[in-house]
Amino acid sequence: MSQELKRKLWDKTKLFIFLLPTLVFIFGFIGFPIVFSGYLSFTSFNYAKDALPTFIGLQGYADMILHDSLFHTALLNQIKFAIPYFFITFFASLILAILINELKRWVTLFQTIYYMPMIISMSLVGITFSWIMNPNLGLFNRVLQLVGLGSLTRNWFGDPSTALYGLVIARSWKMMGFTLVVFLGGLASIPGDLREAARIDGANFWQEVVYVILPNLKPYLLIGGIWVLINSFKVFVLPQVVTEGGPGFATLTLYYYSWKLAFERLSMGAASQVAYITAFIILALAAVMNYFLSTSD
Amino acid sequence: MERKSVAIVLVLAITITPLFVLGWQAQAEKNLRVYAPPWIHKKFPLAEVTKDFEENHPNINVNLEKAGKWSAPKYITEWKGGSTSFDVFVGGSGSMLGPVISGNWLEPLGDMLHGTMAKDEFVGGFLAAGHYKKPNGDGTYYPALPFMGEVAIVGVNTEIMKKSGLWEDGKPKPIPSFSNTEAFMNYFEKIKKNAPVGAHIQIWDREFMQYNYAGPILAMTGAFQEENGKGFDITSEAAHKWLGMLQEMNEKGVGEWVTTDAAGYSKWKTGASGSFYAAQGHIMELVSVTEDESDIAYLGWPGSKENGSIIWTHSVWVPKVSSKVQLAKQYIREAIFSAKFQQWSFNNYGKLPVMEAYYGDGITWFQDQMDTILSIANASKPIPLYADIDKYLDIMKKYLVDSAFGRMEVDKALNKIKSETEDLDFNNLRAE
Repeated sequence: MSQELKRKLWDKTKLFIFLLPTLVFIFGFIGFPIVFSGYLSFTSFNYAKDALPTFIGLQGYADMILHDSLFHTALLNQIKFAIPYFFITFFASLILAILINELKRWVTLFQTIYYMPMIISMSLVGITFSWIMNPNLGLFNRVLQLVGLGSLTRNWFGDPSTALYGLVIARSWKMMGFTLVVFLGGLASIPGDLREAARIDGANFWQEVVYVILPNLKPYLLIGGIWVLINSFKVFVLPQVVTEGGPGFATLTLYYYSWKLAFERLSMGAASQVAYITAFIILALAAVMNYFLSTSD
Repeated sequence: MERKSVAIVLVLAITITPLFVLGWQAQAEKNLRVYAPPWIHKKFPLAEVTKDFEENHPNINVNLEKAGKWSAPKYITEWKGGSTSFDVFVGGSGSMLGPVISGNWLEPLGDMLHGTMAKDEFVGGFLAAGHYKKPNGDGTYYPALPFMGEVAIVGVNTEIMKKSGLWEDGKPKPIPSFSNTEAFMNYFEKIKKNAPVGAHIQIWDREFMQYNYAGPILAMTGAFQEENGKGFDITSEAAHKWLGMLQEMNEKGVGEWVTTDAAGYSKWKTGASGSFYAAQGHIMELVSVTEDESDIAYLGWPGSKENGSIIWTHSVWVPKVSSKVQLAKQYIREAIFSAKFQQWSFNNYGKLPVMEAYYGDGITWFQDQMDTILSIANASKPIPLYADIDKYLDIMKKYLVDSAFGRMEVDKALNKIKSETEDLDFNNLRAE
């Protein structure tokens, strides 16, 4: 074996050794679970009673979609959660980013302030908002009383008509910082000449936003939008920590239902079906968003 | 080159070390390992009785640990692989243990029921809560032994009852019959006038929902299941009547329905609520705030002294794969079924001992309430543990809770439960 070949072989070996921990992690903790839960979704498998999964094909999916009323509740709740969450998080962070970008000073300060909730764990956010919205001691009800809106006070997480939206606010507050930073990055990349040219042509601030800023921001809107969209369906920690899916099942989400199926009923096949249906919905919505926002040039 | 070699060694070390650590841990555990959730550590003198046990057996070392949140799949995975993190688990309700019992993962403990732990030494139906059909259908067995009991009972705040004119001859006036709806509602209306935090509290979470619904139906009729055994009674006149009354209580504001146990207990512990339908132990906890046991008294729903109420238990159990089964049984007998363990919990938290002998000397409070509690407990029944209990409870929760809160009509809720639970497996895992 030539010296050159030996060196090349050694280089490849080193490469493999350095990649080994990452590869083990990816295959062990991401690749295998995805493939195995995909297989489980075509089976009936009670983890406590059954030695092995029983293959049932698409029957489990059909039963889940057509006959499982809790799945229907979870899906409906998920949609009710996703729509306000998407609009609040996406548009609020976009508006804030545009406004912060207009500031001459303190851009970094505001960027940091809005990003800070991102570093707090979701369960801590849940506990914090449980206190803020506590019916008797909570800050939220107290503020309502102070401004003369005492009639609006209620048990926000204990009332089925408001519990889900309470979670929307808590999650939007936490997650807004990321999209804000993405949008600020996009705004910084828009050449100043373009806005200046628009101003010379007589465009006001609103026209600048509509005709210059937003078209140039499209790739960032796509990234931010898909991020928000994915997160609008990945909802588990808040309902688990704050409401346990209740009152009744008012805050049962798809992920939480998948968890309940797996870890309360030990029905691994059904849990995988819900997880895969959720993943399919996310992928489909992301594709639609990609279609409308992707730049062809 | 040297730096690269060091890096390679480090990468290999990072990859391989966890495997060695796991292997070493598996070898290290040689003693009796006892797991219990944090609330057991708080409400039972587990550390003390364990220390006594070790002193009595100097050659035995007990590792006492706080169990994390219960996760059946986590432990079943271990058991499938032939190992276990613990030899004894102290704690576990029927619905929690259902999956592991139906999967036949627990060691039969029936051979312990002799001497001081003979079957007739247990109170009422408490032992029945640990009696199950064998998963292979061949007879019955005791895969878990109940060590504490709770009875669903109505607790009242004596001060508020007196102010409401519902106190007579040193005890609360009985609740009027369910058949006289007007008198029944008036009773709670009177309490409401003197109870700023609510006349009557019920916790409508997944667990207490069962007792809130089934207890009064049992008190009314002597049964709370459908005649064919397929689930709770959802078709009888009593079922319709009680769910309708629950709605009415909520609508009229005499019923304060909450959705979490924490919310229920915090309302009750303010001392400004009139009555509370919950576990007798939780009702007693008001006294830990006021330090005066005359602040509360117990009542049954009308008919419960004859027809009983709902009881539930927490059990101690041993995984089949444990290599310390005999030692585990010895620990259970000497520590968990000791008078110190069971009476301390009653004297501090109102958890009922399961052994009749422990109701005498050593009990320091509520002696005057014992007759009411025990007469209801003796006639009481545990909730059946259906094979599909988790799915069943989810469906019940979906419609029953909505109906109790007045968000769904009674007929619609009961019909929905009927149609969506028809195909479930109602085989009762408990021996009948």
